[in-house]
Amino acid sequence: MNSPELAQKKLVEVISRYDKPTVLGKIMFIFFFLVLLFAIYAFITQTIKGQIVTGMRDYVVWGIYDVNFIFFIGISYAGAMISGILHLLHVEWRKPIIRIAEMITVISVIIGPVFILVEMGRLDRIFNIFTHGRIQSPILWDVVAILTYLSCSILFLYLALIRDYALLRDNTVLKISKFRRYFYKKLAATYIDLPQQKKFLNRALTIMSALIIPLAVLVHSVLAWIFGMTIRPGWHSTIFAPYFVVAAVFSGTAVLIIAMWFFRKFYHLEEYILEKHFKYIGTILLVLAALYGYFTFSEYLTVWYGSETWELEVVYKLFDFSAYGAWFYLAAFVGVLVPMIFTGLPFLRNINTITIGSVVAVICMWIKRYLIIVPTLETPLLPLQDIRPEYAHYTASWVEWTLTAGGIATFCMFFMIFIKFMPIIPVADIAEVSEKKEFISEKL
Amino acid sequence: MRQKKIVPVLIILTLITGFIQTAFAGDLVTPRLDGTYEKMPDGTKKISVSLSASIDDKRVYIENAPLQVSAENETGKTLLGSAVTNLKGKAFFEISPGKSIPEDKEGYYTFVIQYEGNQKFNITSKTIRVKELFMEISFPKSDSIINVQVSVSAKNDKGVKETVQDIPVEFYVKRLFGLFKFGSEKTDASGLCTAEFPKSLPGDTTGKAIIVAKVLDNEFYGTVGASVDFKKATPLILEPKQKRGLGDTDAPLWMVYTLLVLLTGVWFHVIYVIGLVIRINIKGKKALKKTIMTE
Repeated sequence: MNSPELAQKKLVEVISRYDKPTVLGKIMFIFFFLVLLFAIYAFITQTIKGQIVTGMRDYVVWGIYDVNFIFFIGISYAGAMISGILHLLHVEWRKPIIRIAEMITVISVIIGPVFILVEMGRLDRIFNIFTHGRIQSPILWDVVAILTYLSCSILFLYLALIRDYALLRDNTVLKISKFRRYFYKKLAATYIDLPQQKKFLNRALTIMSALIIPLAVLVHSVLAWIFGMTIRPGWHSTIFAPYFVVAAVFSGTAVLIIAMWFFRKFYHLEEYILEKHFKYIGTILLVLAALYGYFTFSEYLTVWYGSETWELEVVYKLFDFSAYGAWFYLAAFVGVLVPMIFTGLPFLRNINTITIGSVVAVICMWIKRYLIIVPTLETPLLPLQDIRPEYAHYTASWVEWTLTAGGIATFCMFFMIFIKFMPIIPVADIAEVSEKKEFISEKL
Repeated sequence: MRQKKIVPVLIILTLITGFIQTAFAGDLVTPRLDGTYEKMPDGTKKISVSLSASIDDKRVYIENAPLQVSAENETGKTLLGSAVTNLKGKAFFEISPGKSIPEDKEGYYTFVIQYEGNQKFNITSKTIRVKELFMEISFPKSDSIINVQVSVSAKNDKGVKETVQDIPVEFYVKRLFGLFKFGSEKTDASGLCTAEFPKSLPGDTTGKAIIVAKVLDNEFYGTVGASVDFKKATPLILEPKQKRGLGDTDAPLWMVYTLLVLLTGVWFHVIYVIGLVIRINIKGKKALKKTIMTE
């Protein structure tokens, strides 16, 4: 079988697995949509009544909106690091999972910054960021870095899709509407697998995969510098940028594993997303968990040993079970050890345990971001006097929780919508690998 | 027989109940009413009142209490108006400069502030007796220094203005968030006192400063103020506003260049990649055209 025929066959095989929405799929989509509607209601409430409807007050000016922002930007690393690095290293087994990783990147970079806009309030003044922003401020660096990162992520995803769009354009078996066919025709950029086209596309992909890695590192470093360059306990640390980067890759990899499990299970992709993929990515997760644990230990040991009064105030809040102790130990120990045990011990290592380990890692990483932001803001340098307790201590309101749920629902909905317009498995790449295998077996 | 017995029992019960109610009824508290008089620089007379009471050894401010302000002399009482206390038990009553207030034979105003009381508090009143004081600020000519002179006078029994001696006067200049004191003098026999205006104190950008002179809480005259614009102060030179924004900035040059180099580097590659996609498109179109032509 020649290459185009094989590719078309694979395309039909993949698309037909999930093209018709199941009842469960429809129910899930409606559920996510309803959550999104409720989140829109919460946002309207916040816009009309102001930030008073949130738990943020004079001291804790950043709440779970900021936690969500860091979390979503963090998980975007799945595409940047996994896809980018594995592409540069020409790792063949990456092919069935890179599309999922790239989609996670694009969707999370779209959703993450929305939380910052929601947190800022007064969206009518959004252009002031560009007209009155200071180049000296890490917040402006973050705006510039994220916009660049988003553009590059979209371009990277698009480049990886060109060959699949060409296949979809030429496909005669699948029922494709006129609109979608037009959409595929335009986006396929007249790709007909000419040697020169192949050369250009490979060059473009190599450039983008090389570019997206430092960009991703820069985005999260800038994000860490927003905290690190502020002289506050728990933030003012030189290792904050690499710590943030490692934490981001760790959570991004964990989300990738969860997404792989979800697509494998509900979109019947068992033939493509194999156990070995979970084991390989699980090994990456194991290394990252160990690295993240090392950074956490190093950070808190240094601060605790230094015994600087203001720093200790935050550290003791984190260590104390009557304050944030339970959450801290959960994030620092359970969040590191469970993924390490499930991915490290051979007799425990299987698809489900690796996924469970990833779920634990994702939840603990969200908690960790909360512990970075809130306890520090609850510990001002000047003593708290004549302050209402709700002004000094932060509790997220229903508006914030609803918008958080809305963000997660939108993330899932975007996935469901995206796969309507792009194959979840990079069919052209898979066909190429199969063809190579066939050729080798024929030769042998 | 029974009815006859019930009547005296009812009468006794009523009497006992009334007695108990009277015995246990709380005593009315007499509140404390404090008041001050101030003549503002624009001539407005302001009476500030504070109404509070001591309940269980605690000072409690009485809010929403209606107060009546009147002026009295030998001929009678003239109602000037009313005011209501705020959450902190304070009320302010202003009498505009043109409004005539009855004076007594000695030329004094007698303001009576009265609180009518309620179920908890007794009626109470406060009397403030003050004489109107007149202050004028001038700037006598001198060679190198700037002097601010205040002349203080009051009306005598015959209604004629005469200078007032030995009155302490405070000299201020108005700043953004309050008054800055630059002198404190007593009036001499001619009712004059002088203070030197410090040249180092800047005015606004046009060199205007507002000079305020005050007699503070005098037992005969209350608090009296006067103000005047002084136009020869050192003009304020504002620091140039910091430039902000991406296109116009005061940021260190190394930072601007780093940002530009990084952004240029990234976007150059992005544009190059977009160029490659365009070339892919062109190559495809050309090849298709060639195929059609051949066919």
